[in-house]
Amino acid sequence: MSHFKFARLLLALLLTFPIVSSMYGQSPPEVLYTGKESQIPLSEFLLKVEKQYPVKFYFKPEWLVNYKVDVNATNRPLREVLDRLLYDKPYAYKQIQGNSYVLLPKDKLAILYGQMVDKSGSYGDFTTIMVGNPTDAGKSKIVTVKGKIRDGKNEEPLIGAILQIENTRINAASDNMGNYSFSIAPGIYTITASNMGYELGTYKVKIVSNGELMLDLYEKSLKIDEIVILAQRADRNVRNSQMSIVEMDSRAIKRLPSLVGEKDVLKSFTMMPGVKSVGEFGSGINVRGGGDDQNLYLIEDAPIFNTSHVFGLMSVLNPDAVSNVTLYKGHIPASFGERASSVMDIQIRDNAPKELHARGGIGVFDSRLLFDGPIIKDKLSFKLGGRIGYPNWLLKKTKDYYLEHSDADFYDMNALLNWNYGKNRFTAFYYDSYDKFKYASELAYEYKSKLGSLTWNRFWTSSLSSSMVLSYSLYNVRKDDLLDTTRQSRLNLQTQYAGAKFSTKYTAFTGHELEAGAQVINYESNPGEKTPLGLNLYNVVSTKLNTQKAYESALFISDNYELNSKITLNVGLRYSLYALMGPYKKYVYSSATGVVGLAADSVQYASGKIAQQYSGLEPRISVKYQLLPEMSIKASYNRNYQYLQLLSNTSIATPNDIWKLSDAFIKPLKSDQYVLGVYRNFLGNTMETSVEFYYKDLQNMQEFRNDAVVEMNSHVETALVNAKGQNYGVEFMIKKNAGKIDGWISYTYSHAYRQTSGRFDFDQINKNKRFPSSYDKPNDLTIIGNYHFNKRIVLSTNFSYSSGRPVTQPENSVSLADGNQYVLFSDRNKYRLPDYHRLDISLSIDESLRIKKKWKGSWTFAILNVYGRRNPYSVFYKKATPSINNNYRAFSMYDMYLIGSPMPVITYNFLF
Amino acid sequence: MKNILYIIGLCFLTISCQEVYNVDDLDADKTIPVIQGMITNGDEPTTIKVAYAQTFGETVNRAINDAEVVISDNQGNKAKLVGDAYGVYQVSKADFPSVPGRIYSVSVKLKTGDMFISDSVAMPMTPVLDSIYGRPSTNNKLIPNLNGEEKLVQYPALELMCALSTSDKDRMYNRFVVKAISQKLSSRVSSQKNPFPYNIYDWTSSSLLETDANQVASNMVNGMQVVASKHIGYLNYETVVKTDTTTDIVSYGWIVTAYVYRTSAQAFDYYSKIEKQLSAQNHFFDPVPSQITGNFKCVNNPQKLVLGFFEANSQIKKYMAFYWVPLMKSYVKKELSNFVDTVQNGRQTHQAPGFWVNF
Repeated sequence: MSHFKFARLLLALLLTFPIVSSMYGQSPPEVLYTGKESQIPLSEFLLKVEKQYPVKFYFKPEWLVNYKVDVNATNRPLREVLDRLLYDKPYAYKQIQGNSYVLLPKDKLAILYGQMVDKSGSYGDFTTIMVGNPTDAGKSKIVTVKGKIRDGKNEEPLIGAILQIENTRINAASDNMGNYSFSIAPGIYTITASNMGYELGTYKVKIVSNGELMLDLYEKSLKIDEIVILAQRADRNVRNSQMSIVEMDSRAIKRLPSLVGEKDVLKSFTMMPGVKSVGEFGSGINVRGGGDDQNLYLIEDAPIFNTSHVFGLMSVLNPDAVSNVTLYKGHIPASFGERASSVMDIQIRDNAPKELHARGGIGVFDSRLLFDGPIIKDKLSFKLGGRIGYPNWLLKKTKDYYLEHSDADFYDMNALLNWNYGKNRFTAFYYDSYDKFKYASELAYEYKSKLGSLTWNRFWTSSLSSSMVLSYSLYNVRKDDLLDTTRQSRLNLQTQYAGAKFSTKYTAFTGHELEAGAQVINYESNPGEKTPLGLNLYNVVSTKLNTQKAYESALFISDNYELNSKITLNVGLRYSLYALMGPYKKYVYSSATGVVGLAADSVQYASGKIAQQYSGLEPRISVKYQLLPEMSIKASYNRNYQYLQLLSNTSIATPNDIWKLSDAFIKPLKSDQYVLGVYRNFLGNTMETSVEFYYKDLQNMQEFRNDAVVEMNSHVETALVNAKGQNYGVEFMIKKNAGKIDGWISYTYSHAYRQTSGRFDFDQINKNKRFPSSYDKPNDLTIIGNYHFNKRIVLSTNFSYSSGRPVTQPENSVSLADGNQYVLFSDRNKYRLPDYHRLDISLSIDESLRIKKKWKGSWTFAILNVYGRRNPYSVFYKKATPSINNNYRAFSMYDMYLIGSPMPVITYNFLF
Repeated sequence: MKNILYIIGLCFLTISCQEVYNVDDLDADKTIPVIQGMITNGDEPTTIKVAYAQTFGETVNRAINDAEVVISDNQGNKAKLVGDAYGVYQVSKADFPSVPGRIYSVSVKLKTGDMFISDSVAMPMTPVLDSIYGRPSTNNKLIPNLNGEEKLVQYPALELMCALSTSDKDRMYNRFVVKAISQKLSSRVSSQKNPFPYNIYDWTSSSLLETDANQVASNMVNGMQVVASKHIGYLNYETVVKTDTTTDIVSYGWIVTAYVYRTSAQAFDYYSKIEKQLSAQNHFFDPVPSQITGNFKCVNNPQKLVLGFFEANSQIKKYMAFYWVPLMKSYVKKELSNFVDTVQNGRQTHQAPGFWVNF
């Protein structure tokens, strides 16, 4: 084995056991060197020493061959001799067990130990890192340290890694390119750097002037620790001034139970407190009682309007492509707006890979493949992935007539290009998603999303950076109504978004992190265009509703200010201005009759004229009080305006729901949220607990009148009722991050109520009495448990329980002359579905840990719904042919369940 | 690998299903009156039915037979309807004539003292039915087997269509009630037992539409309100001509009675909601329920809920006979000036019944 190979092996061993040398407290006997050499190649000198003394050196000969040294020593410790020989050379040594010495480039060896070379010249001393130029020492009272935190293995930037300077109230987090900076008085400090799934790095740092500190962290050698679900540093929940935030990275997602053969990024969040979904599948998520349209889903800063494939079977995000997801459900940074409930910031991996990689998976419904790699090393890299669904072949095998004659297909693809140019970083991103579903010969849906963004990040100085994002999103829906062959029609809907956002960050003031910026968005919505299909020109008249255009602009500023070692304030302010532009026809209704039926008059606004305008201040405040190092209390207040709402008269969102811009009748949704939380960690931050109380007041929510017709309704305001909402609850979380058994328990008790205040009967729901919304599920419990047999094999269980969601059920029936009957439904959401509960078990066998193995495969075997609970997905009344299934009754209520018995799932993922 | 995926897929799809959902602990109001009635310009008596709404799942008819039901028009005419034990109240056309263009309303007074009155409803002008025609087609029906699994059964059939048009500017709202008498003529062949052949006449009455809520609204095309082709039912015919060794089917035909009601936009909306309920439209996504209330109000207590609908419709009736010619795979039709549409099912030998239509 060559020296070099052996050195690499040792390096790997050291990565695995970084404290191996210090574990063996007994030091080897000191080797004293005596000898005289002149202009001898360094490598030759070392080999010579090996022959003379009981020592061993590991190094790459070509590193040292060009260095000639003079040596003249008598009974001097060998370490001292080496120190003197190497101090002016880019190599250093580390003595490991016995008298073995590993020679490596200084930066490598420093990184290996989570340290940097002390540039002051005290060679061989790896305990203190010098930052700055000693000649500038004493020139400034406050200096700025900036740098980058990277994955030491592949040099990819680590996003969201946390730096803490002990005994100060200063900390910093790495941004989406791994960069960080902080200002501090010169001195000697202990700094810790942490990131989920990585070894904690502790550094003794001597800061003398402005300078750079590059830090590399290494993945935890025992992969089982990746089971930690939240991509947070150990005590980030306690230390961070942010609250009501859920973060997940790709490795955390990897461990989550899969539903239909693969991990689902979006649905994974429903296992967190305060995040739910309407049904077992169902599109999107509901955050603290809000509808799915109240969540802003940003993929690389471009919004996506439909997050589901096949009506919620799986989300549109390829899990391999996602590197990090952050959900803000309480305190939303001022730089984000547009939605009332939450922001989900989805990052596609922003890396500088050293070599080409591919990963993918084969599942029951879809397969996926993703490549990433460099185009120009360290400069230009790419990421290209795709996923294709094939549920169609399975549909054909079912016994259900309608499903057997149905077709479903989908695909999505994403492409990302990253270019590092000096202090600039440019990112180009494109995403395309397509779905097709034909339900027998009755209905056909086709919907597609296209998103793109261009981002320019510029690092002006160590404390000043800015970013510019141009984003675009297009959502198209086509629905063909095929049931009546003489009246077949096609409905087209389109929502278009084009936005520009500029923001800048400034961190030069001690204890402050300032951010300010501006944003402008152009919306264009085509709420409906209906055309005949085929030759049914007489029965279906082509109709197009007016396209709506609007601008939303915003200014924002925020500061994260550490008042003292205990109190941190995060204060932000956003001002949003919205203008609906002409051409727009504003209908005028008689005040005596209200907004119903046909309008009495109308006012036409010409193109380019402002038809309606709204504006508002959106304050965002949060405060953290650090009671103990491992305990804090946080409180926040948040106001959000939402100018674009989804008009959906179903509990479960459909692809052809209409995104409607605020106008004269549909006012912006306004949300005021108050949150109070207590956070406490135990057992060295391996056990996290938290409790959060929230209260949300919502104004101008849109509820539907009974029998509301949304499709192709030019007077859609006559289908809506203005309502206010009250959502409140308490969320508990206990999480164990380490050990053979880990997991978490989350429990939420909450309510989400709605109330109308209409003057007319048709403007009232339940006679203006408060009623629970479809998202009102008071009790919600999730228990996740994992048992690690060894480094590769994990047994996971996932138990979910929630109260049944509110539903409206028939109470009375009326017989008709033709033998049919219709029903009278109860008050809105008067009843509840049966409680939901389900247990899933999975066994994961991870890929081989052998580094050299090129092709790595992993398997997941799971059984979903272990005890076969039939959880109703929807409940409906219908007439059916009498049979044994309906007790030979034509008119019954039915429930539809999706997984009614234990369901095996197998997944194979690969990486090469 | 493929087999594994296949098995897993089947597991998934066969375990997702619909089942009857029993609604427990209903908190239903048992005192909601239901008033349903229709006046037309046809010969039949004007009928109003009064009952209490049933609790969902209940099968007992809760008729109200002691109500006071009065119909009136905008000409000052008024008539009290006479009820029976089943809560059906009627008045003949002689006692209360109906004329398109007039406005009608109904009042119902219950023994409880509650008084209900309908909206005033104008009877539209008589509809125009341009044609009824057929086209060879297939009637696809899902029939549940003994296990309740629905299987597709395809019947060769004549699909009936109609066309309507009017020069009125107002949109036409039409509802259809279509019945058919199928008439089958067979010939008993001579045999040792029956040396003399004779004819057998079979007829069966059926409704061609599953619901009276089958309706259509016209569209304005070239200055005309037009319904170009409206499906109004299937006439299934037998493809196997010879059914047994002793009988030959000689001919197969139908007598179709089509009622076309021209109704109001409100009535159209009312029946649309019923149709929407019965077909569970959009049920995958759990829509806001289609709530059906009607056009009655309680005079003495506006908060009191009342169900049902009173409609004033003009109508036309059309009798058409269709004869299927198997060898030509075509049909022959003829319009009948009159027909006794109370004919039900029956059989007769040797001689055709009086209503029989010969082609």
